[in-house]
Amino acid sequence: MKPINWSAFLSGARKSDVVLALLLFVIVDAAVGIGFALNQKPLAFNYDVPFRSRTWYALTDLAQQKQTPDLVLLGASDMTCALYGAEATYQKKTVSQLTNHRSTYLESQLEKASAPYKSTFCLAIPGEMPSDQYFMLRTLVSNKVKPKALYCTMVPINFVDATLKNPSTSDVYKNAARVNGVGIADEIACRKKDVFSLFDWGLSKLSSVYGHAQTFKSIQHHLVQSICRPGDSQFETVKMPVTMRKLALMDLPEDFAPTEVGQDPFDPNNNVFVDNLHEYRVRYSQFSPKIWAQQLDYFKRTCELAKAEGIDLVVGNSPLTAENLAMVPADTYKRYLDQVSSTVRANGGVFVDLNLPGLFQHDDFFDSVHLNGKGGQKFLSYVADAMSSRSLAQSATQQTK
Amino acid sequence: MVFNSLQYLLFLPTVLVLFWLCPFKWRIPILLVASYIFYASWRPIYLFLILGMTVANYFLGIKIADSKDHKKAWMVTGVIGNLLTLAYFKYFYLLEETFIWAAKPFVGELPKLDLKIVLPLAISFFVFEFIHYLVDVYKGKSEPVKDPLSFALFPAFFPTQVAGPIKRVQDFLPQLKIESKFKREDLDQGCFLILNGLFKKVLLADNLALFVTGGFSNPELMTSLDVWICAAAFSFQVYFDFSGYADIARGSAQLFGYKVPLNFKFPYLSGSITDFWRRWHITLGSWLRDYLYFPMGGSKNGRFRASLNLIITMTLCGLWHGAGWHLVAWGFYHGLLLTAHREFSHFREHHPKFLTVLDTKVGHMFSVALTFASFCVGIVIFRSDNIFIGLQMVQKMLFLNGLFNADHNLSTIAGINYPLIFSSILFVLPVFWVGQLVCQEVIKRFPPTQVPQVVRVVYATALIFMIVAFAPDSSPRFIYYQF
Repeated sequence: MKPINWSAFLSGARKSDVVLALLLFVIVDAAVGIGFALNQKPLAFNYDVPFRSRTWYALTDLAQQKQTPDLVLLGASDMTCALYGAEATYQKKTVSQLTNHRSTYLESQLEKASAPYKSTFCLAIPGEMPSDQYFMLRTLVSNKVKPKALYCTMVPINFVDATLKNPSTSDVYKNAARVNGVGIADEIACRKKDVFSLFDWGLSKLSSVYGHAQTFKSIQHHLVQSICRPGDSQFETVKMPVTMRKLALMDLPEDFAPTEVGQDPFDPNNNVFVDNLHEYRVRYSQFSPKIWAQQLDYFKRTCELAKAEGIDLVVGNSPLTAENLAMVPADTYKRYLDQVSSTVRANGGVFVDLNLPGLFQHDDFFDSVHLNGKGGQKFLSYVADAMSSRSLAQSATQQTK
Repeated sequence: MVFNSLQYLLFLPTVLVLFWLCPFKWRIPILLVASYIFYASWRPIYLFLILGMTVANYFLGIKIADSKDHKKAWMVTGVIGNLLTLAYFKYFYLLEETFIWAAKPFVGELPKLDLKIVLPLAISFFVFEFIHYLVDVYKGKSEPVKDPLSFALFPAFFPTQVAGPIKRVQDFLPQLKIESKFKREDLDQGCFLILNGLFKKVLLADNLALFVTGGFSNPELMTSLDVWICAAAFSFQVYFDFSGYADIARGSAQLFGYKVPLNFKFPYLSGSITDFWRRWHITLGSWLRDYLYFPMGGSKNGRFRASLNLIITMTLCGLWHGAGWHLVAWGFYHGLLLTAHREFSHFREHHPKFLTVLDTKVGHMFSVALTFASFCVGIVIFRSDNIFIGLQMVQKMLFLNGLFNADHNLSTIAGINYPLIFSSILFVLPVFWVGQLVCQEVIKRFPPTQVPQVVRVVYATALIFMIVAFAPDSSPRFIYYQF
């Protein structure tokens, strides 16, 4: 190797445009960091994104609540279908799944069951995995939005379906990492083993520009909006066929306009059942012991965090149709039930099994997994009962103490 | 490993430091090993393919030079061998599907062979480089390369490995022999090219991709205006994507002190389709001219034969871009355009007073617009999933379905407000047009060395900032990777 002539090297570097540009970038980066620090809003949920997903709508709606909700609901589409179906049927009108996260129906049932939780808020997102539930809870806790109780739904597919290989690729994670400061991001990054992920994470920690694309795109979004359509409040209105938009955005991050996802009331005269068994046959076949262990670990951490924060925890096994349940190997289902229920109980939570025979009929379902409006109302009344018994159990424990 | 990845951001400086710190005799081995690592990072098994083809062409080159009586036979063997390898990996499925479709009326549905062929990265490019080498050795335009490492580096050189520019052995190999020293100018110019390329790819092409994907995903809902907007947007996307790649390739090569050919010269400012092909994918155009059009006779055997040669050349150019009949149709269309322009120019040569307005500035602007519009019509066929969809879209472009859609919308796409690019596209496309003109003039009038350093530094910083700040989460692959 040749010896390096450092003085010549440094003198050349001083004249180099690229070296000077890199130095200037470092200064700009620091200035941006200072600008962000000075502009930080009191509640981190008030964030902006260029692509507006369900998670974004849910978290920004939560930020607008005047009081912390008593009961937060977590889960996947098993929860959202039941909750919004029930709500639309109760209100007898179409309910937006993006701008409405309270369940007045569940609140009425909680009152009927004399449960001590009055207000509700749904942070369930279709596709929400146990890892996502953990990210949601971490986000709530770290932003000092601590509900009194938490109801989480569980289904075997949460552990069996190995589609989500990396929990930090989900939309919930991306949003949670954004509003949770660096807490979750650090925790996830420390588990990564490949050098490029660590390099990527290291750069985003060092820089106020790298890894903050969402912030800059939001600024750009508003800037262009103010130039192209100043004062146009209809900017967010979509004026085109949904089919085209859905296809257009297939390869893009999840993105919705506020009016796009609505739930209609249950109509007994038009009760359509969709056969989705094929989809679940495929998903059940994607079993991976690694993913099972990973998701169970996140679930355990959710239970531990709830316990540590003094949040009442109820975990419910969601109902499935008999045909769907028949596709889950019996020993797998038993293992799932045993592990979930024991984890919940070990952390002082209550486990309720809503998949017991006789609780739901076939016509309560929209497809083999999701409840319709009628089934949803039944489901929420069971949830209210479970929450009520949870509070009874807790008060009994306190009295014993 | 793609250019717009963190892997490359680590890989390139590592190789660069090793290259410049090690003695001269190690430079070629370092670059060769780095290039093979770069290639193997995609699919290691195909390393054997590029190695095998390199060995075969190395010995074929020597054989052609050494042989007294069978030069042509060895050259033809080599060319056919290279083309058969390309055909197997690239066109097997197209030929199989076409055969099954043609045979269906006679023998019914034939079963498909499940060969699980995956198209090797860059094969279209290095096959063309090998063919050029063999033909040039045969014609005596190039000496056979005796040093196996230098020869192996010729197709494998990682900056140009995946999507060109298609190099010539006479230009590239002599550079390897020069014991060049590290120059600050090379570092600055190379980095500027890389930054420009990343800007084009990550910021312009990738953001346009959002719009184009949306537009082309459901063509039946589009109005005539939509198709024109989408076609223009895709034209810019493919240009920024490919010329961005070429800039990064040239910039990366320059960091090692090597020059590789220019591939784009503001093609959308061309005043004719002939001029366009002199400015668009220049190295492919010149390869097709030298190794396909001229060997077929070029324009030597009369106007009809020249036109036929042109159409055949461009049709094969379409086929080179991918295994699909719509790409063949796209090539054929360009062949027709070139022929039409050739005939038009011929006519004007003999009738100098005909349409003299075209020689004015306004006339030139009209010619530029017409050339771009002709390109847009072709690009719709190119981008479509199949030839039938492509033709339906062309039908809309020609306003054969009326101006409005069923809901009396002039433009459906403008209704997509999210993401931002959808609503701002009508503003963005004219900006690109003006931007091209401005860039062309600035480059002409102000060579980089005459620009004050402070301007250069601020410009580079702005590029770095924008690339870092606005890079999408997952950048789509370079379009030309699939070729």
